[in-house]
Amino acid sequence: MGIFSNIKTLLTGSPQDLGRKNGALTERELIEIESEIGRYLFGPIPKGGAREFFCLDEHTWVWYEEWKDQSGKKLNRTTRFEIHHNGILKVRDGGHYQYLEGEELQNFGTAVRMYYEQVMRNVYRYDPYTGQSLMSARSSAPLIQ
Amino acid sequence: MLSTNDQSATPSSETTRSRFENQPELERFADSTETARISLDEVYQASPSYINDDELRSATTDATNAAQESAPDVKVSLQSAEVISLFTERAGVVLLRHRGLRVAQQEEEFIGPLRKVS
Repeated sequence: MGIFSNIKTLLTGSPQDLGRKNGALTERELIEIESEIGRYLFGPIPKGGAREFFCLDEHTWVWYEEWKDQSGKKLNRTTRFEIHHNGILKVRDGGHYQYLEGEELQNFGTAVRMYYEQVMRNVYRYDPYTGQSLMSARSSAPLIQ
Repeated sequence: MLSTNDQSATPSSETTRSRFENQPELERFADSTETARISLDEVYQASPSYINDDELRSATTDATNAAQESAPDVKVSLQSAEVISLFTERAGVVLLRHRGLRVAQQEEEFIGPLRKVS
């Protein structure tokens, strides 16, 4: 099972739970496609590493990062960003909580805006500003597969 | 940028609260951002379904400028957090809606023809 499958199973349940109907994309798979865009919003992924960044629901964004230390040992960290009306709460493994502030907050906001705009355009094919569809009814497949 | 091994020592929520509690600057800060809050409400009322990034960015800038002019010594991250939180939640809502639409559309594509056959 791949990294992404592990995270997604942890957060959204197993593929069997969610089901897959006749080859159609499940919500879980759509999130995975969105993350193909999200993972590059923070720049290139270091060699040997892995990254996922996606919107889980309207109140939660997830960032997963995997990297190797100097001895070659694989390390990973999952960070959850919880959306509250008074700020963005960053929750890390091991129960570390803190509100985003300053540059980190601004960068998170920028990443969300870029994610929203690119995902709306390239996955769902809607104009993020007007909400108008960018595709004809017949060509409904997402651009990113 | 949110970095892989981000060890930046951003203050905890407790620190943030204590920084602003019992300070006259907080009052001035709140007063100075009132106009920006109203503008932000207007943005959402005018655009209930989709996020207008330009208008939101403008509201963010207005809020930041207003706060800095009135109380330059007060950090404006609280106002930024409010705006970014609203945007982020709104973006999440819209994305969820489109995931739902996409799944429903696919179900109709696959199940619709079967329904016609049966």
